Amino acid sequence: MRSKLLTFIRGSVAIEVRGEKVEWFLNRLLHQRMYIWDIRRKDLETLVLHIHIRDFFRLRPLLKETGCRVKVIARYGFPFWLVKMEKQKTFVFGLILFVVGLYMLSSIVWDVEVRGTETVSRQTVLETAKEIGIYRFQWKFRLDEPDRLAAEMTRRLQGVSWVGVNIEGTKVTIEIVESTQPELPPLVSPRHLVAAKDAVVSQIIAEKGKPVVQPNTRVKKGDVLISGLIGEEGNTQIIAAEGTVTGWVWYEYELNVPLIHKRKVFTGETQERRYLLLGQRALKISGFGDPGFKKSESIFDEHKLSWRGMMLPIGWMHEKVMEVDFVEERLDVEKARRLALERARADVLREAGEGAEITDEKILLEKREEKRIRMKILFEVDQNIAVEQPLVPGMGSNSG
Amino acid sequence: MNSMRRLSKKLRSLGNRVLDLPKDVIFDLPRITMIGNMQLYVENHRGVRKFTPDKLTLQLSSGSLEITGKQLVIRAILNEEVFIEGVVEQVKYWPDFRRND
Repeated sequence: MRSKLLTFIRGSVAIEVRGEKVEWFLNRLLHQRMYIWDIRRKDLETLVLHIHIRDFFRLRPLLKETGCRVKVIARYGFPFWLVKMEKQKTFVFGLILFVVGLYMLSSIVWDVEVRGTETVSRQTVLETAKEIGIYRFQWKFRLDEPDRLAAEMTRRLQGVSWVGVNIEGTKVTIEIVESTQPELPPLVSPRHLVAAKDAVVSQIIAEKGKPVVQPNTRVKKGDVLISGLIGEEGNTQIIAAEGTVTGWVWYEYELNVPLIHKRKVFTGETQERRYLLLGQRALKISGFGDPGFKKSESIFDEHKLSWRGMMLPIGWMHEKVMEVDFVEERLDVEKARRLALERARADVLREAGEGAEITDEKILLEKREEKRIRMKILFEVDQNIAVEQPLVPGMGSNSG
Repeated sequence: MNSMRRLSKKLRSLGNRVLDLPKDVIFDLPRITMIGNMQLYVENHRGVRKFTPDKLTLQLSSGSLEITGKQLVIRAILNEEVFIEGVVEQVKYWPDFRRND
């Protein structure tokens, strides 16, 4: 048979055919190749049948021919629906309004999200986005293509190397990749470089500023080495002096080298004690009696009961008392001296700072005693002697 | 003319025997399908002669088909086929309609 959907769309009617020769009428319909269905005999003269609307309008000549009369008793399908709709205009209007409203609401940008900002503020990004038309309650169809928007954003935003604009439904996501900028050199105020210590200048390299001293010059602490005041008299400029100045500095170091070394030794004798812990108190349970150790050390091992992560004031403690003896060792004189000198050099270099170098050392005094050696050493160290001194404009320089 | 017809009949009979074709195709006969006593499907009819809830007479190429039953309804009808529903009690085949009318 034929599709029900097509029948619904085209529309059909149920009709009552009344006449003496309804069978003839039926055969005439078949001859006209009309499709009819659900045919029922109501009574002797009446036939009820279903027919397409299109065919229904072609019935007239056949009715005349067979002398039958027709009456529509029911209507089915979409065309009749339309007629019904026309009667319910308000409803149809509401339906259309609903569909249109839904469409409109879904074509509004409801949310703008910014992702990936660290140093650039979200507010700046949003403001830039607003300038090119991306903002809340904007019509989606008024927005440009996402890639063009992204390009425009990249052009307008500073400190940004890439911007991605993504429109998903009613949400616009702006993704930002910030460009990493090189660290700015720390700002420096005008300054001199002055001597940190009494020294003899070994090398002077002025990157900025005017070198005031020559190598092999003796300087005192506080003397200007590189001046921040440049230019001739009456046409001076104050700058931040920069450069490196190294010089020889002398250190006097006194040493006390012990020749006897005391060492701690465990004898192996131990005593074990056990305690019950109640709050802050410890109650001894076992290990009574004095073991007679002259000197001893103890290792404590504490256990506290806990219940569900809460510490309870109850527990036990284990103590291991170990006897200690001290052994005296006499060191070799030469070895002790060498070790002490090495330690002294390391001390001096640490004090002199980075890049320092010992250029000479002199033993001024060496005195051997029973248990130690006393030494006095003079170190000559080549080290950085420059230190910054801020320059206050207007204050005259005494050595420029 | 008469001999021609006889010849064609002979030819058709021969074709039938040789090719073993269904008889409804060769002799223009109706094909009747019945599903229990509820549905009846008739192909190759020549129109409706009488239709009441108790009795339906279909015209065939030669003869007629009389269906008796209760609450007979023509579910669908096309130029050559008809689909009947209801309680079918009898299907009677009249070889020539002139004799039973």
